[in-house]
Amino acid sequence: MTASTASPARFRPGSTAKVGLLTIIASEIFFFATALSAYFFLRLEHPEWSLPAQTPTGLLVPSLNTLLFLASALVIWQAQRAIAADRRRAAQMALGLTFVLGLIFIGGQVFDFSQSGLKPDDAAFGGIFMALIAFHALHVLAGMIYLGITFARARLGDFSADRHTSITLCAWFWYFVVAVWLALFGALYLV
Amino acid sequence: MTTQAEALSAPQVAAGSGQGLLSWVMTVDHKRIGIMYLITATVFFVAGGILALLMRTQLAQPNATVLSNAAYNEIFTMHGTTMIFLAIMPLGAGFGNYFVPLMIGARDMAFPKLNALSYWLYLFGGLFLFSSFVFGGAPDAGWFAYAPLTEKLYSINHGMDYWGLSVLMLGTATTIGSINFVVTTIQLRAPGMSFTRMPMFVWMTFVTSVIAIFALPSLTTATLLLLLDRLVGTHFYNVSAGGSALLWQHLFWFFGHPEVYIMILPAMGLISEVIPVFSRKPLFGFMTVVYSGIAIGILGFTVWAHHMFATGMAIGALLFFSANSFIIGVPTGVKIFSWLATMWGGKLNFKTPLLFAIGFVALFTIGGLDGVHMAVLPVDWQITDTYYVVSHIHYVLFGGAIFGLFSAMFYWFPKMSGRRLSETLGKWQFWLMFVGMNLTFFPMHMLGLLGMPRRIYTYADGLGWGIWNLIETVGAYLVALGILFFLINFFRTMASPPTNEADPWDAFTLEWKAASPPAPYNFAEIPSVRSRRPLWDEKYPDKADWKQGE
Amino acid sequence: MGDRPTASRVPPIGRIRKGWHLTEGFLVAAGLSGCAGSPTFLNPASSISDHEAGLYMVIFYLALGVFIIVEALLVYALIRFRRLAGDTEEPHQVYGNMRLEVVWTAVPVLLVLTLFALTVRTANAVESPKSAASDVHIHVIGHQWWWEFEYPDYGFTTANELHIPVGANVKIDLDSVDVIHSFWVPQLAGKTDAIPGHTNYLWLTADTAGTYHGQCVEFCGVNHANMRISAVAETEADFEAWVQGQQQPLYQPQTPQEQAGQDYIVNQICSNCHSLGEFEGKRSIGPNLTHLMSRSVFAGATYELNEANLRSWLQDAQAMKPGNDMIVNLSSEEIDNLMAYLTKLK
Repeated sequence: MTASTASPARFRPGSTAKVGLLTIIASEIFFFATALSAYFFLRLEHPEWSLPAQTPTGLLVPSLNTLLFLASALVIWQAQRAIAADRRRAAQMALGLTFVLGLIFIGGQVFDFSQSGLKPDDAAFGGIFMALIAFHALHVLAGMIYLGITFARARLGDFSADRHTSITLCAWFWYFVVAVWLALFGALYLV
Repeated sequence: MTTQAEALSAPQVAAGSGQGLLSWVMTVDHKRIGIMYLITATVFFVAGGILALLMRTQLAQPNATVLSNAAYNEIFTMHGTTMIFLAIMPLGAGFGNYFVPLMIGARDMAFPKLNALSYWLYLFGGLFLFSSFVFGGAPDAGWFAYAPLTEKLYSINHGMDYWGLSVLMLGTATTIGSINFVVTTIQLRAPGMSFTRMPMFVWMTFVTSVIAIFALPSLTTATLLLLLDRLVGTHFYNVSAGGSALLWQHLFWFFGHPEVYIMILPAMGLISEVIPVFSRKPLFGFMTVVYSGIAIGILGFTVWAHHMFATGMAIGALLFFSANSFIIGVPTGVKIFSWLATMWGGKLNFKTPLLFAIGFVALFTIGGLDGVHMAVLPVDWQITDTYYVVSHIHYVLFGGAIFGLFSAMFYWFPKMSGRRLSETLGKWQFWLMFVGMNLTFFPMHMLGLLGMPRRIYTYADGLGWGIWNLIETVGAYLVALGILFFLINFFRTMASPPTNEADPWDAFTLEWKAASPPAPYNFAEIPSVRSRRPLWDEKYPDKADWKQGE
Repeated sequence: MGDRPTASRVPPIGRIRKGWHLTEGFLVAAGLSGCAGSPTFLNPASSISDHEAGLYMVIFYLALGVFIIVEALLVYALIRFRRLAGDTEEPHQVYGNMRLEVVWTAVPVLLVLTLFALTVRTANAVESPKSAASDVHIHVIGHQWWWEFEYPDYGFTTANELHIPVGANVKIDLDSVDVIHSFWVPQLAGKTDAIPGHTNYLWLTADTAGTYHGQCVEFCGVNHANMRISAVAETEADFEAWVQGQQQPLYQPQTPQEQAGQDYIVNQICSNCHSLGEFEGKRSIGPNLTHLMSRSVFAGATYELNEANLRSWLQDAQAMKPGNDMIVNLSSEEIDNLMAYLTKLK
């Protein structure tokens, strides 16, 4: 029996949860990919959907919102760095700030939508546009719920330099929702 | 220095392992969840079979009035949806749940609570779907639910809403389950069990789960858009308001084609366990079979529009899909040859598990060759949407998947229950099913060639279709009799005292090391392995695989 | 009307045609195409179906060969390698054979490449005729649950029964007013979907005169099974005569009862769905009735069109085709009036 004394990577703490989250993210990437494909498929049949003329409120609000959202990704990255160096308060604050930025992003989306005059039963364009934004917003909200819980646990002192899997998972999910937004922003507003 | 193996060796009793109904409802033990999946799926399989018998009775003669057109449409829709989502997939998941942890030497799945959630979502989704019969009418636009027929304008009652909501629940259950299998396989393999030493059933379940993770989202998107159209008034599939009728088909088949591999790969994994044990030889060309499974998984995503050859897409696009559909036949053929070569030179022990596995090889060959016919684009223009396709799908899904699942049922029944199913009843069941399914599905080739479309509740006299339909109906009743034999076998066996043989078949893989049935914690000590057949190594040390460098 | 060649413009592949005739003999012997009433492409009446049948036979024989080899090996193994009673020794353990595995991967690859090459060749041969000019242009429209055949060059529309001259290139524009249907007359061509919002194109040329059965072949609702096609391929002269008949103006009533019948159709519930008189390009829910009696089938080509069936239809269409869109309640006087007029619409 030649059992190795070094634990294989699959047995390291937190690794199962990480593999689990990556698998979930892989699935969700395909969800957005198929939804975006639906958008492009409909667009192929409608050359009159020319952007940015079709964009409801112009590019200003969505662009600012996007920059803000990108910033939130940088902030949560700081949270990861902070906890890895055992700077617990800094990590807590970064998590909290990310949450707030997420909230502002959602607010920005809601505002942009209410200004656009688009309705879901307005021909296919209204429907697919709103559907994509709504599916994404739901994922952001899920991320924010996880963020909120993680923030609370950080305040309770659950995390340290050696044990902070949840912060890592939270950050990875956040990077995912930001990346999806970049893709959506590009597809809906820029291309 | 403690090894991980020793650290894990303290047995932990899984929650919900006591007696009584409540312990089953609360359980997160993968073995109990596996059994619940298997029993629920068998009940749905019988329900789907009864629906099929109703259809066959209506079709036995031209212009019959056993079922109205409206009733027939509900029945064929529910038959397809039930067999695919509520029978075949959960049977595979049931065996996977029970045996993947055992085969890799683990104590449970990576996420036991999520595992329970998958099961209950599945049960609820299935019951919700069937409740539509009572509450306003079952879905009646086919399991494939093409838009715009499924739009509110053309499907006014709530049947399609039930369909859509059930599909979302069932899809979620499958996705969660798949995530569990993937993580379990990556994380919880016993020491020494590299990927190349995993049993083939674990491999195929792994590939299936990866496919599901990438394919189910497309169905989710398609169904969400349909429900939004029906319930909120959007226009994704409504042509007059800028939507597209073909969008549904692309999204659906991008899921739908990988879906058929989700259904067949676990069964291929199952017979890859049974054939070696009952031939007394290892699986021939193990890594080639692994690579072919991976190839099928990847290629499965490149062929979806072969379900859409008649839609008028550009010829270049159609030929692309035709080419890929040919290519995917190659890895499938490789597996058949591997199973043949495994039996070749062996010492075949014709117990019921092997009979069903051999049935799989014989019948799947026919189904696969049918598939090659349909990849031929101009021929498909004649045979698609006819009974030729119905023949093909049932050869691969019934002759293939169901036979493979019954093979596993007879093989693993002693491990799950501590008792062997009756060989006599098993052989009766096998022959009834084998003869019956050929009588039912072989003439469908002819019907397709003679011009009979699918999904019709009746047909005109004088077209030459009547005689074949009649023969098929007789065959269907034979199959049903075979299933009845199984049910009798099951109840008689469970009523008899257990013999608790740990290793009744002199098998090769880790699950046979555990007791029959296994203790809640599976293994007192996590085993470590040196080859693909750890139990063979233990029982036949002078012929051990690791000594041959395998 | 221009000259119309009588021979098909798409010459079949020589060797396949010869092989096909041999096979035809085999099939007749096997009884498959002995079902003379069956709408099968294996009894083709056009070059398209002929090509498709020829290619089918090639694939079939190849598949049969593979089938025989695989099943024979299987049966042989089951007999030769069964464990004999009392034998408890394990057989020689073989793990694989790289050379064999490569061969049994490479050979199928070569086979499928060959099949694909044949596929490309036949697909190109049947996809469109060599000449772009069409002799007859038909606009086929799928409705729930009947087929409309509009002849734009001749200015009329009809239902359920399609007429084409033998040897002519027929170009079909195919679409739907509601859900996806699929147009299929096996002996004349492969199937093509009729998709709302998206026009598909289909070419065919009939080689032999005859009446060919077809059906809708994409599930389209409760009467999908009852949406059939009667395709009549006839000589040029007969086709011309038929066209002229369809172009005749609407029969005007000559008795008070016929007048009552026509009034009913034009002013009462019938007019919600049916059109009568010259086709002005507007789609109606139900068939145009102007030359109803020139057709030999009705109700989605599921019933022979004769007086008894027509009267039954007016009395209770739902009983004859449950779930169809004709929901009317006619008194026996109204039915008599309608029968008086309708039977004159030749």
